[in-house]
Amino acid sequence: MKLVLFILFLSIAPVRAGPLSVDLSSQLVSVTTDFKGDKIVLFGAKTGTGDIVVTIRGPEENIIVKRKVRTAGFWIDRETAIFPKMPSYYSMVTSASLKLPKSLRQKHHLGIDSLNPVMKDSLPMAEKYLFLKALIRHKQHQKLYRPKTKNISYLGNGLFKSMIKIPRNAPIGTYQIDVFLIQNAQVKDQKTLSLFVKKSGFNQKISDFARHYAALYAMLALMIAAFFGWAANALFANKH
Amino acid sequence: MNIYLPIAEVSVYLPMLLAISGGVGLLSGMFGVGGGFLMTPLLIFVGIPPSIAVATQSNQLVATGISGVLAHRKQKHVDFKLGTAMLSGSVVGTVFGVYVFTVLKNMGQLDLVVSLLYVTLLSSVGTLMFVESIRTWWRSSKKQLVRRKLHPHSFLHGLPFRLKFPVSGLYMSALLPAMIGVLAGFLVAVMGVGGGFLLVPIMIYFLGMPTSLVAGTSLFQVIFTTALATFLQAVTNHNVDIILAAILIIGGAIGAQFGSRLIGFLKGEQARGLLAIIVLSVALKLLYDLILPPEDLYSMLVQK
Repeated sequence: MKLVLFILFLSIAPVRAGPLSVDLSSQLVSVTTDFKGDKIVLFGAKTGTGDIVVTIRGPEENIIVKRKVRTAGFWIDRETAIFPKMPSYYSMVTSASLKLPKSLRQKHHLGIDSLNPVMKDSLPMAEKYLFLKALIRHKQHQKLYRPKTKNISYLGNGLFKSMIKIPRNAPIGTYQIDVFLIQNAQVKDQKTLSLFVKKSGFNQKISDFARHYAALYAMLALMIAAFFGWAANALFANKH
Repeated sequence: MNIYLPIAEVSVYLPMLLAISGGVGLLSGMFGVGGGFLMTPLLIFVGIPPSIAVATQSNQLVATGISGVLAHRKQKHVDFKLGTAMLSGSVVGTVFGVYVFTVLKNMGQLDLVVSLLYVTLLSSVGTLMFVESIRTWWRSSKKQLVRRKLHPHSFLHGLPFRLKFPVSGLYMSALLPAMIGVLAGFLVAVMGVGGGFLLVPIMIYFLGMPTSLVAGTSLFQVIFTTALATFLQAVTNHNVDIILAAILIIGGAIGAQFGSRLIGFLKGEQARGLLAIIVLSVALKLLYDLILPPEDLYSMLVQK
């Protein structure tokens, strides 16, 4: 029983065992009606030497990439590649121009080229690569896969902080923030934090209402339409 | 001034959305069509996911329909009996349409089918209207006495359930408007249109209804089909965004009122010709997109 309580305590306390300690200024980003994005501060301390690398991964999603083929004069989506469990958002922050060995990058998903997607289909490797490149290109265009930044400040005494920008079109869900302390191309320590991007109370209530009380929601939508239809007519009709 | 749409899960620029719905509302007020055929592609163009655009647009059309029918009813421009006959078919068409919509969406080919439907229907209707308006203008400029033959009676008119429709002055099988209703209901569900742009020419040329009755009766029909489509979409696919709908309804209602005043400045065939040009432009743009090599061969879709 005491062991259970101890483990529970560890899971709610800010992570701090080992040479690396980290925390977030806020664990919740609330997407309100006038949401323009948000800024969260990641801060922490390291004992000893080493460089900090931070990866931020949005909630996983299954992404389908299609390719058009000219069929009977029309360009139609014909070929498909499915990428399950891809991060909906990805960004990375490093403290210096770190050159990390490929094996390390692949193991810890450090960088957009190390996402290691598992692809569920029978396309040849070269083809799969083309689809993956297209996926990354689209995500970059939507500003959801961000270029690497060096946005970390060292404040002395091992303290550091970094500003994480959550974009306006950030997907809803749980984000995983991994902070690595790297020295001599090896991971000295690693800590993981969760960031929750949720629809604000109002927006979430509407989504829930639409999903769980769909019939009532539909009636409400229709009543709004009926009301405005009648109102528009009543207000303007006599002015012809 | 951005506003986050909770169901669409995107943030849109509010003034632009109001401007779009106002502009389309203006057109619908002028010509008596719902404007859905223009609104839905525009919504998709500004970033609303297609499935949400179609379903939410149905919601907006309910408001347009009610506003229009109330206005036309004052002038006794609605044939409720005929409208009800069409409705019996539309209900079937809408239910079937929502089913097809869901199947296509799951197959991932919804966009293609909707685009193809738009292109074929809009180009054929647009061409017909354009030709007709040119012909009318030509005849009126030549000052010929036009003895229009009453609409042709095909075998369809002789089907069972023959009824009199006194308001329109017609006598035909009730199955005929019902079948037209099935088609209209189907289109509402799959394309997110009111169906007016297709119904109006069919009612004038095929059924032979007096032109003054067509807009009001078509709108009467539109109310019920779009209401049913909205309900089914919300319950089956959860893709009606009530915030987006409210914005579109307000913009559209205001635009429509201005539009119905502007129409006084144009002659009948000029207005129809102008509408025909708009319809054809939309059709051409969509065809263009389908035929020309796309900017990016690859497209990405998130499975929800």
